[in-house]
Amino acid sequence: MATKTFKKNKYQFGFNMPDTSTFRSKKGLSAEIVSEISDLKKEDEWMRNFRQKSLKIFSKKKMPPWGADLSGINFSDIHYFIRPGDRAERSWDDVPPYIKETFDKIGIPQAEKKMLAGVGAQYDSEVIYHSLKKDLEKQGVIFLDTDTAYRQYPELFKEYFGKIIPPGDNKFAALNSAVWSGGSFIYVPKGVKVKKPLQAYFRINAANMGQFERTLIIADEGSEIHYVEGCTAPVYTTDSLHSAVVEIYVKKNARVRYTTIQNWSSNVYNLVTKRMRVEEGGFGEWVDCNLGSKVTMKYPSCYLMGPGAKGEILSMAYAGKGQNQDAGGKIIHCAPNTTGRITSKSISQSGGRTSYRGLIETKKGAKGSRSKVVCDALLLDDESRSDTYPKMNILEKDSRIEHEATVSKIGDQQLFYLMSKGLTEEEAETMIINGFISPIVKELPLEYALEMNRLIKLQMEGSIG
Amino acid sequence: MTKTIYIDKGKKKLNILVEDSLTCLIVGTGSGEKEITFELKKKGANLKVLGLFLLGNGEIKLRTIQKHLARNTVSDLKIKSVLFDQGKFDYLGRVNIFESGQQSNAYQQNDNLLLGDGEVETTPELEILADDVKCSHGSTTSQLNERDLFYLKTRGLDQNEAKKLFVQGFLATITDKIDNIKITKEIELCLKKLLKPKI
Repeated sequence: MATKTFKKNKYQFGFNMPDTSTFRSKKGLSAEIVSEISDLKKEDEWMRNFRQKSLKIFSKKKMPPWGADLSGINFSDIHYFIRPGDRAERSWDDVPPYIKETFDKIGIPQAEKKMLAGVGAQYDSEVIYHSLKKDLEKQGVIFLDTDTAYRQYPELFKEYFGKIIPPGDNKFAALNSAVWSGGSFIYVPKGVKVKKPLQAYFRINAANMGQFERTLIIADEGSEIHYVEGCTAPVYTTDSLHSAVVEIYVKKNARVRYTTIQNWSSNVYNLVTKRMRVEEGGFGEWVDCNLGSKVTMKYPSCYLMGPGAKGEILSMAYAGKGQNQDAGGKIIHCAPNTTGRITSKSISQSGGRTSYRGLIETKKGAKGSRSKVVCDALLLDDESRSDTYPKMNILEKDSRIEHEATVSKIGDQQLFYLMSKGLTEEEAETMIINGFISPIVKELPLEYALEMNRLIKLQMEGSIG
Repeated sequence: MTKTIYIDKGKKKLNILVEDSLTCLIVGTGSGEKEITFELKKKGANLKVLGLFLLGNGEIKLRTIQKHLARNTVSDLKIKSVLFDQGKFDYLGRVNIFESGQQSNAYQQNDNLLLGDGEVETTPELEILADDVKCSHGSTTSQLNERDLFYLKTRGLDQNEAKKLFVQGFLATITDKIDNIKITKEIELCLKKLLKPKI
C-alpha cells in the first residue's frame, strides 16, 4: 500500500491572551537579573547564594553535545521572570477573570469539579491559584507553590532542595536553579495515603518567556501520592524555553506516581530534568506523555537506593511536523533486589522525529536486580524518523537486564481486517494507534485518558484524502 | 560467502560492502578493538553477522554499524559474549535504515553472560528514516542460573562440567552455524582454558 501523507491539524489550543503581567524582568540573563528575582521574592541569603552560584555554573557549562538540535535557543532573548499577580491566591473566585478565561478554554474548571483534590495552576511564572481540600490539610499534607513553601517551611525545604539534582548536574538544571520560579511543593507525612491525584496545569502566556518551575515532592515512609502535571500552552511567534527541575523523594515503603502530559505549542524548547530517589521497598513511577513542543529532551530517572526498591517509567512520544521528541528514561540500580521497567511507545508522522534515549545501570553490589526495557515505535510515513539509543551498563553479575525494541509501520493486514469489518481507513488507523499506546493511556486518570484519545483522533482527522 | 574477522587482528576500522549475500563471523578470545561498518548497497543484499566473544580479563571494544542503503535488504546480527573473570565487553551496535532502504528488514541481538566480576556496556541503537521496514533489536545480560546449575548437578555433573555445558548451550546458536573446523577447535580450546578451576 502506498504511504499516505497525514495532515497536521492546526494547533488545538492556538489562542493567546493579551499580556497583562504586572512585572517582567529584562530580557537576558545576568547576576543583576538573578538578584532582581531574589529582591522581588524577598529571599534570604541562602537562596540568593544558591541562585548566584547556579548562575556561575550555568555560564561555565557547555551545551549537551548529543541529542536534539538546540542551536535555536538564544539565551539573551528570553525573559527569565514574569509575575502575573502579587500573591498566591487561595480560592477560585479570587483568580482574575482573564486568567479564568484562558483556563476555561483548556477545560480546567470541569477537571476541578470532578475528582480532583487540589489544583495548583501555574500561569506565567508563578502559581497564582491553589486550592486544597480541607481533608488533605487535616492529614498534614503540605501542597504549596514552591516559593511559598520556602517561606513557610524553610528547614524542611533546605533539607531536600537541590539535593537530588544539584545545579552542577547539567546546564539546564543550573539555569533552572538560578532563575527558578513557581512549581509545586508537596510533603506527604508518614503513612498518609492521598487517594485522589493532585494536579497542576502549567502554562506559558507571554511571548519570549521562559518558564522555570521547580517541583519538590517528599513522600515520607509508607505514604502514597499521585501527582499529575498537564501542560498546554498558547501559540507564539518566537521561540520559547521551558526548563523545569523535578526532584522526588520516595522514602521507605512509600509510593509516588508522577504523571506528565506535555502539550507545549510547537515553538517551545522543553528541556527538563526529572529525578526520583527511591528508598527501601519504595515504588516510584513516571508516566510521561510528550505530544507538543518543538524539541523535547527529557529522561525521567529512578535511582533505586534501598533494597527492594522499584522504579517504573512509561514514556509516550508523538512527533509531527518539525517536532523532535528526544525522550526516554533511566533506571539506576544501587541496591540489591531492585527492579525496574521502562516501556516506551513513540509515533512519528509528517517528518517528525522521535528518539528513545535511555540508560539502565547496575552498580556493583546491586545483587539480584532486574530491569526490562521495551521500546516500540510506529512510523506513519517515509518523511519521518525514529531512533533508539538505549544504554546498558552492567557492573554486577548477579543481575538480569533485558532490552527490546521494534520499529514498524501500521500493518496492511491489520488495516485490511478492520476495514473488512466496516471501518473506514481513518477509523481503522486511529483504532490501531490507540491500541498501540493503550498500555500508557490506561494508566492516566480518566479525564486525561479522554483528552489523549481526543488528541490522537485530532491528529488523524482528515489525514486520508 | 563467509568472512572471518578476529577482534585482535588487522585494522581497527573496517568497511564491508555487501552486494548479494554475506555471512560474517567475528571472533574474540582476548582484548581487542574493532569498528565494522556493513553497507548494504545493492537491492536484495543479505547480511548475516555472527559474533562470539570469550574473555577472561581485558577489554573488548566492538562497534558494528548495519547500513541499509538499498531496497529489500536484510541484515541479521547476533552477538554473544561470555565474561569469565574481570573482563569488560563494550559493545555499540547501530542499525541505520536510510530513505532509500524501503522494505528492508534488520535485526540485532546481543546476549551477554557474566560469570565473574566482569562488566558489560551495551548500546544497541536504531536510526530509521524509512517507514516500510521491519526492524527490531534486543539485548540481555544475565548470569548463570543457580537452578539450572543445580539441575545439572543432580544429574551427576560437577560444578565445572555443568558450567561448561551451560556456556556451550548459551553459545550454541552461534557455534552451530560455524562450519570452519579450525575456528570451532579454537573456541573449544579457549573455553577449556577459561573454565579451568582456579587453584
